[in-house]
Amino acid sequence: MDRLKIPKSRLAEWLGRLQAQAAVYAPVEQVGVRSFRRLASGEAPGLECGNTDTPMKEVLFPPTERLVTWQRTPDGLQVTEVDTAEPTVIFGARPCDVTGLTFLDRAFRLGGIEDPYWVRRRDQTTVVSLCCPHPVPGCFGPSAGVNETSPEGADVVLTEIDEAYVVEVKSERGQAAIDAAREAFTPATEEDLAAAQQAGETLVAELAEQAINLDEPEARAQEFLQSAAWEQVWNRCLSCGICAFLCPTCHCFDICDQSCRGGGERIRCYDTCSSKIYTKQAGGHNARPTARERLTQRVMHKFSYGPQRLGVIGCVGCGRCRRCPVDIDLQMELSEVRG
Amino acid sequence: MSDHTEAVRARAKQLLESGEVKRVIGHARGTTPYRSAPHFATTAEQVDDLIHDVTCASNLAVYVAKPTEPVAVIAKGCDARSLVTIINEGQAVRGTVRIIGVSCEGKLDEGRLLRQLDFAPRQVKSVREEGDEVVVEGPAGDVRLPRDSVVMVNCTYCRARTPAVADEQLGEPVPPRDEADTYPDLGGLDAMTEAGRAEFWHAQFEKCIRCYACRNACPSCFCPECFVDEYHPQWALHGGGQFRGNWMWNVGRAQHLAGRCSACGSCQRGCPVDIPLMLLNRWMERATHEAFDHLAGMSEQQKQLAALFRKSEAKSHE
Repeated sequence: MDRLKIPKSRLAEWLGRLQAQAAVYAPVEQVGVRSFRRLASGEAPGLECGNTDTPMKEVLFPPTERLVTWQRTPDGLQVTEVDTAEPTVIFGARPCDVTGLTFLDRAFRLGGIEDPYWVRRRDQTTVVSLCCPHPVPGCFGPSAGVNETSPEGADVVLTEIDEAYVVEVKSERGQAAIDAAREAFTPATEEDLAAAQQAGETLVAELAEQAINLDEPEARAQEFLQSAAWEQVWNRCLSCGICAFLCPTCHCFDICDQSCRGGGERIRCYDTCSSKIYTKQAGGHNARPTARERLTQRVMHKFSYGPQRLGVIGCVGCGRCRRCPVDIDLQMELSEVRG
Repeated sequence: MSDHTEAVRARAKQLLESGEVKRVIGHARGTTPYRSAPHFATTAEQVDDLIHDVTCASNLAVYVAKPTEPVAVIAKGCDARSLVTIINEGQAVRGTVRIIGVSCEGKLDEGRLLRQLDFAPRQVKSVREEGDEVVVEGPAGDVRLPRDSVVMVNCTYCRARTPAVADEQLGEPVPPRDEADTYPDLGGLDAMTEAGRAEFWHAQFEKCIRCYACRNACPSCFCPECFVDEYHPQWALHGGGQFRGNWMWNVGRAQHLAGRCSACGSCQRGCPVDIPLMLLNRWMERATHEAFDHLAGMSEQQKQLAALFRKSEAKSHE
């Protein structure tokens, strides 16, 4: 199949066509924060280099969602399942966030048990990934196994070359997204392809300067938990939820029913193992009473249980968890534990 | 200048060797030259990792809830205000907390610093203070930036650049900023109508992801069970809609902090979505300062704001 490119000047046209078929989510800055939001008609996405502040997983796994609502009626209890899934295009997702989707795909289908809310959305979603033109500060994607030039999980991959994007189509869904505005695309020349290849090689070479070592993650996790550095790390952890809520692979949630005035709703929202009441049980016992036990869980889940159960670590190198107010950087700790 | 690294190490060593304290709570260098991390020294080796420079922003009082052994805290003015507040509120025992005061002219706001550099953050080799400037050593030599342009905004109106309460003091005393009492930071909010302010905060709170970093970084937020934990994590949607939960959380917390905030800025610094929480806290500080002449943590003798009620004030709101 011929490789294609699309001039930046025709991006709006393509997005418009996609919006006619699907809800299009892309990076948008609002009140100083960049996140993936549904583009309004004619709204331009913010495709400048750099990750969104909040992770792209929010599109398919919202921080809060209603699952079921009910109402008491004269005819009995009326229960309505909430299904907000719809054809969706995620546009301009960086390779780390896209790789995070593949982790969540495994987690939400683990052991053949599907999370219907995830699956319903995911099965109707096309992911158009945009490679980073420059190394984003703090990114260590390649060290976490991310393919920065053609990420797993993407349906289309765009690589910036001057005033155009070179297009890689990776799936039938991706092809359908291209076909939505086929006339906006032109065949990529040999020079275009060489430029895209060069851009990718330069990026990967520059990212090597930010690389850390996460080889043998399970052994590293064990060693870190025995190290002197660990003592300092768990002592200073504040047990907030930043690292989990900003992480493209964290997926813990809680579900609860709320009833009032003859009706109610079942909702679920993000939860985090760093919260001190995450493991609090009826009767008051807490299996993880201090940050030591809670952070141990985080280290083990990401770097030991992840590889064991899903075949990959629970980290895609996006660096968002470095927003930690007390500078806890577990990946850096694991990298340095072997000197 | 507020690099007290050598003095902090020397004093920490004495205190640990003499057995006066079992643990010194300070900062160590973080993962980059422009970051520090809270650090707990119990051995001579760990003392060598202590630093105190312009990067030591986080409030250490958060680690001093009801210690069972004597500790020393390397305390900036705001840490000291927080320590006094939690001691006065019965959350720490004065006799077990040795307050090592350090003078401070402001601590780095990472975002404000990095936005002014035209090179990658990883190319920062070192950061130091010289006079009224912060000097960043980059790939092409030193970059000199006015201190006020790179420190946390709350530091530019600090009333406790020298701790008001301390057992000892490292470094020359520094006078408070004039802006502490004139509240120029609230000018923007003052200029808005009530509806405009509501709109402003609506937009800000809509960003909240309820990670509770603001609460957990705050020494004054010490409740064993926070009001939101009673429904955690579902509180968010209680009563309909994510947004109302966000409003409830942020306004509820600000009200609980009235007269108890040390203006350290840890909540705003921790917020991953940049909600300007210090505007809210300063608004409350001005209100309680003007109405009750009360400022949190400036004196060991002071009562809690809520205990200041005078009979003459009965029905004074009517």
